[in-house]
Formats: sequence, C-alpha cells, structure tokens
Amino acid sequence: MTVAGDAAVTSRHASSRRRWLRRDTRLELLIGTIVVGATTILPLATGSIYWGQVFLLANIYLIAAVSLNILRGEAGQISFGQGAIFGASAYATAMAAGLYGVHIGLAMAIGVLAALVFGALLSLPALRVQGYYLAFVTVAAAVVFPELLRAFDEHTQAITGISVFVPGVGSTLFLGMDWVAVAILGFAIAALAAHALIRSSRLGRQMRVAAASPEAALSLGISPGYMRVAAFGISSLGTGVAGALYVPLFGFVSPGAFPIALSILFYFAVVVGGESTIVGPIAGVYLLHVLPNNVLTEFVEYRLLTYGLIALAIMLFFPTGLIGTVREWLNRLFERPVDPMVSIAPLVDERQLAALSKEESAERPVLRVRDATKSFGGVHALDGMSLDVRSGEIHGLVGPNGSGKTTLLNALSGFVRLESGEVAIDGVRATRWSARRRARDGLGRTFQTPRVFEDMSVWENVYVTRVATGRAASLSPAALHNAQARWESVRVATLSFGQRRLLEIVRVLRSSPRILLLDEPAAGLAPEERSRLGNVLRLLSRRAGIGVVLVEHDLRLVWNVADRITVMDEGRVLYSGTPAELGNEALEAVLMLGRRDAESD
Amino acid sequence: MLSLTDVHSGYGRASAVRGVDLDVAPGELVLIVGPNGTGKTTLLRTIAGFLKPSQGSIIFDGRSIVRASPEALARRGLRLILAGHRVFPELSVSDNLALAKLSLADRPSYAKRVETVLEMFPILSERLRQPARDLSGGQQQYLALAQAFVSNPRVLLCDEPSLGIASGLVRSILEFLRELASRGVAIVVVEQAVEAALEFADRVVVLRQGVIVAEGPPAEFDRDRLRDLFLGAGR
Amino acid sequence: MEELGITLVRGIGEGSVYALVAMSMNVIFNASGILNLAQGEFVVLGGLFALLFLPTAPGTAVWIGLGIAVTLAVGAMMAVEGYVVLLPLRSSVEQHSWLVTTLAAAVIIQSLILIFQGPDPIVVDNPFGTFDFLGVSHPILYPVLTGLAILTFVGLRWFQTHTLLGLTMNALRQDLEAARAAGASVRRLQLSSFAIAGLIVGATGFFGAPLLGLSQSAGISFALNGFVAAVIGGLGNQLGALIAGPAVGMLSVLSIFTVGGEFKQAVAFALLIGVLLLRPEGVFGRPAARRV
Repeated sequence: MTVAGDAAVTSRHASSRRRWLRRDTRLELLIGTIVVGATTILPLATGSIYWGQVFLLANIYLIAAVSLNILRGEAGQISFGQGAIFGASAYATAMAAGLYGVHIGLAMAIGVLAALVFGALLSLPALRVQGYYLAFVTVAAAVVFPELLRAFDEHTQAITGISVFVPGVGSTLFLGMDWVAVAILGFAIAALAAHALIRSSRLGRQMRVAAASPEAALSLGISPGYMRVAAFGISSLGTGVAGALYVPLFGFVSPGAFPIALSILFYFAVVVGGESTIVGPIAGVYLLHVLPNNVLTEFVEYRLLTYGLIALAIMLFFPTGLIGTVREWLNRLFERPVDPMVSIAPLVDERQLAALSKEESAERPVLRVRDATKSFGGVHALDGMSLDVRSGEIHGLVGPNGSGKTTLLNALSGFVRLESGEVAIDGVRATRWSARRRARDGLGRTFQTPRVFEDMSVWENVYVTRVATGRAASLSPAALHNAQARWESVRVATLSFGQRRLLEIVRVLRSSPRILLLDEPAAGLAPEERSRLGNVLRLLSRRAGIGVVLVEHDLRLVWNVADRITVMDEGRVLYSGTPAELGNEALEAVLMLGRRDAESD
Repeated sequence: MLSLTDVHSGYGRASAVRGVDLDVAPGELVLIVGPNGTGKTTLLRTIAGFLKPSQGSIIFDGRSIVRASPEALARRGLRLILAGHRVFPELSVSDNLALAKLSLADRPSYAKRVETVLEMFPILSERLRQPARDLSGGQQQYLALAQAFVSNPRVLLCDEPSLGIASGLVRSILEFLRELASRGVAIVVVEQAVEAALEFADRVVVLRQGVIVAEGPPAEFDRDRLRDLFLGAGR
Repeated sequence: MEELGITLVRGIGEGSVYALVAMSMNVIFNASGILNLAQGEFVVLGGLFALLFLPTAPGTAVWIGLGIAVTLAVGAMMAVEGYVVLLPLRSSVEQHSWLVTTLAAAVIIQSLILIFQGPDPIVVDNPFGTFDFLGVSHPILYPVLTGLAILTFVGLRWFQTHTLLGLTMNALRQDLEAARAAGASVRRLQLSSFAIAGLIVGATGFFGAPLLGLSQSAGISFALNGFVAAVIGGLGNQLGALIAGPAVGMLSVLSIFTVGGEFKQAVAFALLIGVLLLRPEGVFGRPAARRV
C-alpha cells in the first residue's frame, strides 16, 4: 500500500502493520463463523439428519446470499438474477456428472465456470443501466432461465430431471459430517471471509465510491464500469460454488428447483439482514428460509405467506435491515463526536517547492483553456471562454448564477464534452481525454457537497486510490502514516461539515494533482472555517505547487487568497487580472449584475 | 403576520442560515439581498416548509409552522414562488391557473380572481390555450405570479423573480408585487438584481453568510454601502 | 394467411393486456417514481373474483355490474398496498425500499391466492363467443380487450385534463416541487395513483379472465410483460404504452410460429434487453439523462 520508494520510511515505524480486516468486520466474521459452524456441526454431530439437511441447504443459500451481498452492498448493483446463476451452476454440474459421467469434483468446477459465464452476461446490462432497470432485466433473466431449461429439453432432460450419484455422501469424516458438509461449511466461512476482506480492502472502497458517486469515482481515476464487472465476477464465483454444492447435497436437479422465487429469496435475505453488514445474510436466510419452511408451519401455502409478511414487516420497521439496525444502535451508543482532527498542514511535503520561477511558470501554464464553447438546448453555457492557470497559483473564478462556472468545471473534469475549444494540461492537449485519464494525469477535483462516505473511517475515505507514481507526492508519506492510527478509529459520520470538506481535499491530494478544481469549497462553512480553508489553499499552492482553480461565491475569501481572478458572465470572461487590478467595478459587476437581455419580448 | 426567531437551517451538516430574526407585517414588502450562496434561498425554502429548521421558531398567523409541509402552508395562504420562472410546461396557461384552486380557500371567487389577474397581464389572456412551455421566460414568470395571485395568498415569498428575465420586464414584475402589497399581502422578495428592486421595498434586509448584517429603509443603502456589506467589510 | 390473422388478433389482443398493465404501472410511476412489482398479482385477483362471483350464465347487466364492482374492489385493495409501500418513504433516508416492499406484497398476494384458490388455473367461461377472421375463428374477447385498452387511454387523458385531481397528478409529474408549492398533497396523490392503477388492472383481470390463463403463479408474467411494454414505449408515456403493448404482443405471437412457443417469454426478454441497451428512454421517450 505504500509506494516502493517509501519503504525505507516505513521500516522506521516499528508499529506499522498491514491490516487485512477492519476492526468491526473482524468481530462480525468471528460471530458469523461461530454461527455457521454451530448450525452445520451440531445437528449432524447429534444425529439429527433432518435438521442437518435443513441447515446444509440453508448454508448453501447463505453462500449465494453473501455473494449477492458483496454485489449489492459493496458495488451497489441490484440484481435479481442470482437464482438463475445458482441454477446454471447446479445444472451444469448435474449434466456433467449425471449425463456425461464426469468426476464430481471436475463437474463442480464446470458448474462454477458456467456461473461465471452467465454472470458475465448479466453484467453487460449493468454497464448501461442501473437501479430498477437493472432489477427488471435481471428478473427477466431469472424468469426465463427455467423456461430455457425446459425448451432445450433434449440436452437438459428438464421433464424428468437429472439424478446424480455422488460418491462419499453419507460416509462420515468427523463430527458427523461427510465431505459435502465439510465443503459447505468451509465455503460458507470462506464466503463470509471474502466479503470481510473485500470490505476492508481498497478494491472494496473503490467499489463503494463508484456505487455512491460515479462522478467522484471518475475524478479519482476509478472506472465505475470495471468495478461493476469485477463485482459481478466475484459474486458469480460465489454463487456458482453454492450452485455446484447443491448437486451433491440433493443428488437431483430439475428446473422447478430454480424459480424466480429463489432469486427473490436471495435478494430479500440481503436486504432484510442489512446490506452493509457481513452477517446480515445469515439473519436473512435463517429468518426467511429456515423459519417459514421448518419451524413455523407445516402447510406449504402458509410458508410463502409467512415469508412475505416477515420481509414486509422488516422493511417497514427496520428499513436498514436487522443487523444494520443493530449496528446503528451500537454506533449511537458507543460513538462520540471527535475534536477536529483532519488538518492538512502537517501533511504537505516540504520538499515539493516548485523550482520554477515566476516568469517560467507564467510561460507554461499548468492548465490552459482556449475558446471553450458548450450549449445546452440552445443556451450558451460557455461562449468562447479562455483561461490560464499557472502552477503554484490560486485562480479565482467568480460570477453570478448561470454564468457557466459549473459547466466549465465539468468540462475540465471531463464529464461534459466541449463543442469547440481546447484544453491543455501542462502543455499537452487534453481536450479529447476521458475523465479518468485526466484524473490519472493530475487533474483533481472536489464537489459542492463533499462526496465522502459516512460509513467508512476517515482513513478508509482517504485511502481509496493508489498514490500516483511518476509525479512528486503532494503529501508526505511519513506524515500520512502517522495520521493513520488516529484516522482509522473515526467514522466520517461523526465529522463536522468543514472537516468533511478538508477530508475530500486530503483524499484528492493523495493522487498528487497538478491542478485542483474546487467547486464552492466554502459553501456551508462557518466564518472561522473559511479562514482556515483560505490558509489551506495558500499552503497547497505555495508549498505543494498545485495550480488551484477556485470557483466561489464568497468574494471576500477569493479576493484574499487568489493570485488572479477571472470574472465570468453568460459563458464569457468579463474581467481578468490580479485582485488589485480588478477594482470596484469588477466587484460590483459580480455582486449586482442585473439580468442581461436574456431574450427579446 | 410572519415572525422568525433565531432560525438556523441548512442541508445535512452544512448550515446556511445561522440565526435569523425577521418580522413581516401585512402589506409590507421586505427585500432580502446579499451575495450568492449566502442562505437567501435556503431561508425562503425553510419558511415555506421545504426544509426543517434545526433551531428557532417560525410563527405564521399565530401558529408555529416549523413542522408544516409546503402544501399545507400553501393551503393556509403562505406561498413560495420558486426561482427560475417555474411553471408546468405541458399544461396550458389556463390549466396552470386552475391549479390555484388547490390552495384557494374561497372556491367561488376563482373566476373573478382569474379575470382580475388577466387584466393585469393581458399577454396571458391572449395565450390562454397555449402550453406554458411556449411562453417566454418573462411570460412564464407572469404566469407563476398570476397563479399565486389567484390563490389569494396572505404571505407571498418570491425567490429571485428576475432570474432569467429580460431586464425590461423586471420592473413590471416588481410593480405587480408592489400592487399585491397594497392589497394587504405580506411579501418577502429575495433578489440579486438589487438596484432595480430597491425602490419597491418598504424595508431592506442584507443577509451575509447566513446572518443579517444590516436592515433598514431603502434610502440607507447606496452602492458603496451595499458593496461593503456584501464583502463583509462594512456595517 | 391464418398465421397473419392469429398474429393480428391474438397478438394485438394479448398485447392490449400488456398495454393495460403498462399504463397502470405508468400511472403509479408518474406520480411517485415507483414501479409496482405487484401489479400482475392484481390482474390475477380480478380474474379470481370473476371466477368466484360470476354465476354460470350471467346476463350482460350482471356481468357488467359485477365487473364494475370488482374493478372498484381491486382499486381499493391496491390503494391499501400503496399505503403500505409509501409508508417507509416518509423518511427521506429510505428511498429504495419499494423494490422490496412491492415484491413482498406480490409474494403475499400470490400466497393468499394460493391458499384460497389452490394451484389450479383459474378458468372462467367465455361469454362472448367467436368471430371469423382470415379463415380462423377467434374469441371476440380479444378485440374487446383492445377496446378496453383504448378506453383506458382515453379515460386517463380525460381524467388528466378535466378533473382537478388528474390535472394535479399531471403537474406532479412535470415539476414535483412547484406542485407542492402550489398546494398539491403529494402523498394523497400517490395513493390515488395506486387506486387508479388498481381500477385498470382489476378490470383487465375480470374481463380478460376467460382468455388470460390466470393462475396463482401468473402474476409475475403480467408484471414483466407490462414492464417490457412500458419501457419500450418510454416509462411514463401512456401513448407509448398503448402502442408498444400490441407491438410486443404481435412479436411474441410471431415468435411462436418462428422459433417455437417455449421461447415466447424469452423473446420478450430479448426485446427488453435490446431496447435498454440501445435506447433506454424507449421508442417514444425523450432522451433524459442516461440511467448510468
């Protein structure tokens, strides 16, 4: 996690330990392992075949539910297709072992492969659509799946089903478990561990960023598309394992075992348990499957009713899920708000003073915009706008509402394509570059509402991206390392608004930007926080040599910190110069610009 | 009629309004000015029920309204006209006006009130059957004001009525608001085009970073003083 | 030739049912942004009531009268569902609970039907008889269903333009905040939208019962096909739904002749994927911000 060149620095800090799991996920994993272990081993060890079978199936479903929890909870993808992936794996395994006589182990591997292929297909729509569109597409896939099985009856023997003879079933290895039970137990624990690992890893954090705000992800150089495909891949793997394990457990498959209801069960289990938790699916599966099927009632019809009622009741009374609600209670009980603790000054590396002289930096602006033009539905948001930002300079961008400031920022970030005009980063033409490329090449950005994640710690919010190599780091790795212990123990939910602002800035600084676009960073800040922000900005430009574009309404702040200011209106530059050069006229123009003739009457 | 005491409000953890006291009497036109991003719109939206204040009290007609929803307030005669000449683009002008029935207490007076407002804005009666999206920005603002008028409000909150409107029309809009005030309506106008609006106000309130920094009759505010107040340099 | 006749009559007829479900989904969607996944179950309910309450040889008056009663009853029932679904949405935090609550409602209703009626198909006599077209005799009920769809479309239009409630619901769709600022009671309107949607699907289920192949498990199919028609027509666009439904219906029937009946649902599914990937706003929709 640290850049290679800093290995020497790291070794000096004796307490540095690579932490694989977050503290709270460790606890959840432990609880989950104990519960799953108990429900698998106890019935079998005490000779209760019925309950043993019940929980073996439940734990197979658990593997699939945990896989969906990764997909839903980490990557934010709504998929009702897991039942079909489960069925595809089970069917492929059964066909290989039952119809073609393949060894059961190899057959199961084939099943997992089938699941991966199926999952890959399902992930394609996720690249284009999200939310309920994705939900319906996956529902359609899950409904069609059994029908396709029946349609291709010659190959799948859908009418009669496939029987599979599995060697070793029933012959106890230890504690009453046969190899199937051991496998199920092992994979169930592995699934929980995998989720915990992902949750604690940078990949998991990147997935969550991409899920919560695709724009913030792009501005950090993360591709939401890759994240989704990765998530579908991982969850298909887990679901495929679950489906493959189904075959030796029952020795028989038929299309009727994989209806849409199965996909719905998995989804409910995740939501009812709580999406942001590791053990939530355990509560979900046991409550929605084991309880109605085996505990509460004998009549098949009432099983369905109970299951629906439980799901509905939980959504009404515990909208964040059972375990999710418990976590919230615990947080509220034990969490204390913390004193301000995100400060940037100690972090900025003293080494990185710009070697360029003033003249040189004026010659080679780090950001150059020429004649930018963009219209939305006939309105010129940008109308031939030009701008130069030098390295180490704070450049204020001001103007009334609708002057095009936000459009310009979005065009610079790469979220919006210019109709004409050029953008150059450090002399290199960047007009056609994607948002990700710009981010990776040193264009950083913050948003009007800080895109930080309440549920993660300060440290986790900061450590989302790799440190950029090839450019001198803006932040001192040693200082960051020192802050780690403090930052790990604080959840962002407890931070004040001003602190979250600073956090967003620290995060983007980790990618060593050459240019920093700040979108109304003072909005919502109290007066003392504003002056602190001003100091931070001076620090970034003077000490770290970053070219800062400051879009702001707080003119006093801008006039205080900016080296140069550009005043915009209606997509064009009105005035440009140093604060001293721009006199009262420019100020008044910004403050009291009347409405121009927007249209004739 | 409308009384705010120590109101704090904002979005999420950010506070945009930090302790505002304001009183508005029937027939008074209060003009709220200040630099952008300063909480003016947040203040109006808080009064109108779109936001709940985190602190403070808002009394309308003797009752606290901090928990009331915008629709409930509209029905009780407190109306907000949103910024940006927002009307219902696919509905005709007359259908837009008809929606005033939702908050008009005295239904039988509807026809008469429509007649009155169409005399004030003849351009609307010419385009009665046309969809609102075919109107110019200024005409749409007329329509929004007209619809509010028909619903016979007692308090009218107006968010940047001149936004996106040709400068020639701004005067007529402010004149209309002045006319309403003379009929006893309490009016609060947030406006960025300060110069145009000053002459129509009974009282000017300067808001900066969520607090009131100055208040008084329009005569006390000239360009220099306004500039200093906006920037936070003067008093 | 016969295939053409079947494609036209049966395709448009079945497609009209898709259009009806789609239009009812659009009503709720326009008012609240919710896609009611339980929509199909209420179609089945309408048919179930037809089975339970229609006497063996009903006269026209009885048939229509009972039809109206069932329509109203299903409308009321869907309003209840709407109330439950809308409850968690009061707190601004939980805006996506409806996916689970509408699904849970679907499961509950399906199970109640299963408990009450059992797994057997719901078979209702066809009171109309048949007519001949291009050499094949078709149930008159198919064009009747088409008529119902057109009637629903016209009725919804009239409602939107001639009643204050309809006008307000229309305004709500165009600009939620401005509607609230004008005094529109959002929750009440959303509840009304559920009731209206219930009227539509209740009538569809009752009058279409003889043809539709209803059973406790058929609900999800109706919801899916309705969604396909709604998306292709442009979510929220009623005219789009009215046209897309029969289009999808005809393509589905055509697929029976070309690739075989087992693939009927898969064809609709493929159509859905195709539209979502190429033009998510639907054939008639305006390109809004892409979903992604």
